[in-house]
Amino acid sequence: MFRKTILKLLAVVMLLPVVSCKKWLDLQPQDGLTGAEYWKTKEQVQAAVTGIYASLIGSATGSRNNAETFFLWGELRADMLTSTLATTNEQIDVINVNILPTNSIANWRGIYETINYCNTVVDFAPGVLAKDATFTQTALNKAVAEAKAIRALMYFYLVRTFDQVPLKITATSSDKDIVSLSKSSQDTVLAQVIKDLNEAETYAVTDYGDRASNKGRITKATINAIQADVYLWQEKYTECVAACDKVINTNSFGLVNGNDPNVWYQTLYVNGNSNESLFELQFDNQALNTFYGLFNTTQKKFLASPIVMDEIYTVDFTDPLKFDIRADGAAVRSTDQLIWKYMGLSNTTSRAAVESYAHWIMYRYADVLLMKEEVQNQLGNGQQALDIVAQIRNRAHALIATAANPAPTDKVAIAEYILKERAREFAFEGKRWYDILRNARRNNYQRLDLLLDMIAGTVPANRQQSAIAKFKDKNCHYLPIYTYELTTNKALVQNPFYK
Amino acid sequence: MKKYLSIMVSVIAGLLIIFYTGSCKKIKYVESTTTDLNIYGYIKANPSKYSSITTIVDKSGYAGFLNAYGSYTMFVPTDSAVAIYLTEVNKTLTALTEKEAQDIVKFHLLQDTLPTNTFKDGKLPTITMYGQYLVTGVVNDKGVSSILVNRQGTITQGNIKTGNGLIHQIDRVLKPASKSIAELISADTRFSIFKQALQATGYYDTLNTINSTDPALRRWFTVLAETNQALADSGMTSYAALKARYNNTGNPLNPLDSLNIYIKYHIIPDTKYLADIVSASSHTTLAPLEVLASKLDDVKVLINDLDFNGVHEKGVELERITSDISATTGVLHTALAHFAPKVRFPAPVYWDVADFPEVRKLPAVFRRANFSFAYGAVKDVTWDRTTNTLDYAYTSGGTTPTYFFDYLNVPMGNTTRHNWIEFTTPIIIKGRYKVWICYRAAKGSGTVGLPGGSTMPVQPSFDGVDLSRQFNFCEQRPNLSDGELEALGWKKYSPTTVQNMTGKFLGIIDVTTTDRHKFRLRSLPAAGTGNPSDFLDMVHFIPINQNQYLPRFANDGTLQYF
Repeated sequence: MFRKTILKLLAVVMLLPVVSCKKWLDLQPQDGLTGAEYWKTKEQVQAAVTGIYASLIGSATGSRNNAETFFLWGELRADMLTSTLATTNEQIDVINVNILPTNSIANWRGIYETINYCNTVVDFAPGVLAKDATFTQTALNKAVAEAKAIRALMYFYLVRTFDQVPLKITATSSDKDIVSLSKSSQDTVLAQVIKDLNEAETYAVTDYGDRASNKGRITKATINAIQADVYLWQEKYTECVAACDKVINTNSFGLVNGNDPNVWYQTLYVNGNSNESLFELQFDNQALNTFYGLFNTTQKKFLASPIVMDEIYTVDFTDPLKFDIRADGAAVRSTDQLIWKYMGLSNTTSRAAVESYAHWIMYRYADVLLMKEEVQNQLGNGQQALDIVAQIRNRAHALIATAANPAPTDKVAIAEYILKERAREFAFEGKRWYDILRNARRNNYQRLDLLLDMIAGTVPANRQQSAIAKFKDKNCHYLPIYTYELTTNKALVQNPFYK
Repeated sequence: MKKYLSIMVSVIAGLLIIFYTGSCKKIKYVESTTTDLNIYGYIKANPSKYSSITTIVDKSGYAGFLNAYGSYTMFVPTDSAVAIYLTEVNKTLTALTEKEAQDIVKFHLLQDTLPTNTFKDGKLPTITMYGQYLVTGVVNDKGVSSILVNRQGTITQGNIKTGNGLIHQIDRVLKPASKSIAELISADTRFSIFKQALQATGYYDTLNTINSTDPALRRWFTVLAETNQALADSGMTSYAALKARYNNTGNPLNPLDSLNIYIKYHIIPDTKYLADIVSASSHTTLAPLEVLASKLDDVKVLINDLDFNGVHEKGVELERITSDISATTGVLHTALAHFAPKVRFPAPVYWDVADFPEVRKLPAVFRRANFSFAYGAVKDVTWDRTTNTLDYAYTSGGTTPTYFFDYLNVPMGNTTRHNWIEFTTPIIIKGRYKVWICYRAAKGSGTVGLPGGSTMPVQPSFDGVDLSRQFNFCEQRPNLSDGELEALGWKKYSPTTVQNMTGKFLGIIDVTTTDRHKFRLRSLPAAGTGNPSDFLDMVHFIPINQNQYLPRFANDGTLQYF
């Protein structure tokens, strides 16, 4: 009897935890916030927007730094880099047009991470309106405008690099949001890009009140510059001119004076956020870029190609006082072909490893001017294009050896001249490959020869013929989808050239 | 009662344990380390595409090793590819003999793993098990580029990983070359004159016979055949004209006959596809000590395109579409113009070592200022310690009246200075030369001409062979007449009377090939750490029968002939 009582008691005691455990199981992480706890105040919205910018200069998950990605995608396939003994096999494979889907340079993960941060702001910031009375509709619009502009820029990079990519414009905030998306066509993605940019333009800020924000965050002028770039890529010329004019007519940008090469270099590249700049990734001493290891250590991966000094800028052998200020001591250090743009504190002194925080310039005024003139030339205003090119060249004290005098009616020659000037002006700024590709594919690949001539000079002699034949296939101008993405997303189909 | 209870509990517990373990299903142990298929397993597992080649592999008896450990690359033709092949050779799958099946498999198989990104324009680095190289390239057909193997089939799916190697799926069966180089040449009417010359000189048979059944021991050849048109452009429209031009001994079989040498100059004793030819700057031929210089000019492959003493000699183009033709004995290329070994007479080379392309690119430095080049920055100069620099020096001072006022400071020494430093010379025509080193004597410590202070004897060498005399940058020339100086192995290479400006005789060399050569300075063991002031100005290579001390080289860059 007594035993029975004890057993019953025991049974009751054992049941207790089960009954009372509800609260215990309601676990919240102790070292962070969940989505449900977040998105309640305007400060949190602001922090999320800042997070987008932070993801551009350094990944929280260990993906490759996005600025490095922009550099690799924009320069590695073009003609201004040369490899060293420390260049990785994957990098060399890209240079040699031997890209396999296993090549991690084709990994787009860091870009999609940034896109997801943008999507999160776009999706969740509107909900804060109801929870925080001090959060205004205007503030919301501004935050969403920044997110949409960066999302557009990222997709613009992706389609120029991969042609077709999955278009994800909703946040992935929980497991149930993970969907297998198939690729969208370049036109579909670019239509979304333009839509985002137009929406962002309406609400974007013109002036944040301080220079670092004006150059480091999305402004209306930056959005116009991205629009111009997209329209130029799409060969929509009148829209491109209109977008460029919006930037030019703000009258708040100009070219940095080039009369003192060192002052010019320091203003534009060393200190950054100059009057010329529209949008820069704001690396600083707490957020270093990865360029020191790429360009300056004994294990440096890249040097400037010999053609940078020999053919692109050239040297005046008779008069050392005549030189292009963009050449020695700015783009490269000609004595050892070091890529100087991100490595110098002046024309001659080098940054230390802990000082490797040169900004990554996305857009600057010279870019807007040259984009506009590229279009003016296509529209038949060749003389105007030549005048502006001359303006850019005069600022840089470009050498007479690199000057050309095409007839104002000669569209092909002027386009080529502008392309060469862009190489000089934006050396190592991640633009070269996209510039050549854009010019080559204009009017249904009318100037494919630009790409073929380029590749004939960059690959080793014993791979030249293969590389030229590969480049005749326009699918080869885009990177393959990285193997990891293919195995995790079964809806993706590998790009045609890489099957 | 309590006792029974505890017994019962333990019995039940024991039974429970037995039940659990007893009811366990038989554990299936994994005995293989991987479930990846091997090459044979892979093609067998995909009969929809590879059933025919599987049958061929089965028939060849090679299925065993293709399913075993190893590292192979196999080009696997699809069923439709095999079907096309069988129609071509007019056979059926079942009618293939074991030998034929083996040959097919062997020609598609390499004993190495070669992913497509290792392919170049030309032969694969590894030979097939059949004993002929495969050639790869890329073709563009209607805007789509794909890799073409052996100019026969394209890769439709590449880099399939299997346990023992890689598979590249191709859309044609690859067929080995069946003709020798000689047969290829005689089959092509464009080469009729060249063919007659080959026959007359006895090299037709050399190029026609497979000299060893073992591919590893076989001697391969590369022939640069001249077309009739190329010869006609040089005024030789028939074999008779060619013979009349070169045949100087009357017997073309004579190895010293010029026609014989002409033919030998067109044969490289190795398999060199165009990609291999452009990868090196010179190639030895069967003609003794005659090399072919090669280079890639934009997209053209040029032979003997050279700058000689400031004169450009136009090269001969190898036509791409009719070159890289594989044969059983090697490879055949088509030359679009006539070329022959050039008769060149030895000419003096007055080599200003302080004038090289890298310093010329720095107009603010070249003949204006000092500059130190880091290791690796100068293509044609290398040295042992990578932390050392190459110091280009300029001086307008009167005590160092070097040629153009510039020189290289190459401090030689055994501890931290250059143990050795090596230069690539300009092109020197083959012949016999006297070598002179011209420097401005100096000492880091002590006085030139007096005992004591810095010293560092240096051993010069040419193409790895030590020259007969050593020298020391600390020594100056004696003050004597030109004749007396030359007899003692010195010369006054600068018009100035400054005794420091020293030319020293290093020895006589036989330059065997007209090419660029290696000139090296090596420090010899000596007391102390060496000499920090080794001011090297010039090196002279002067044919032995020519004037050795004239011209002299002045600091303003002029040459003095008295």
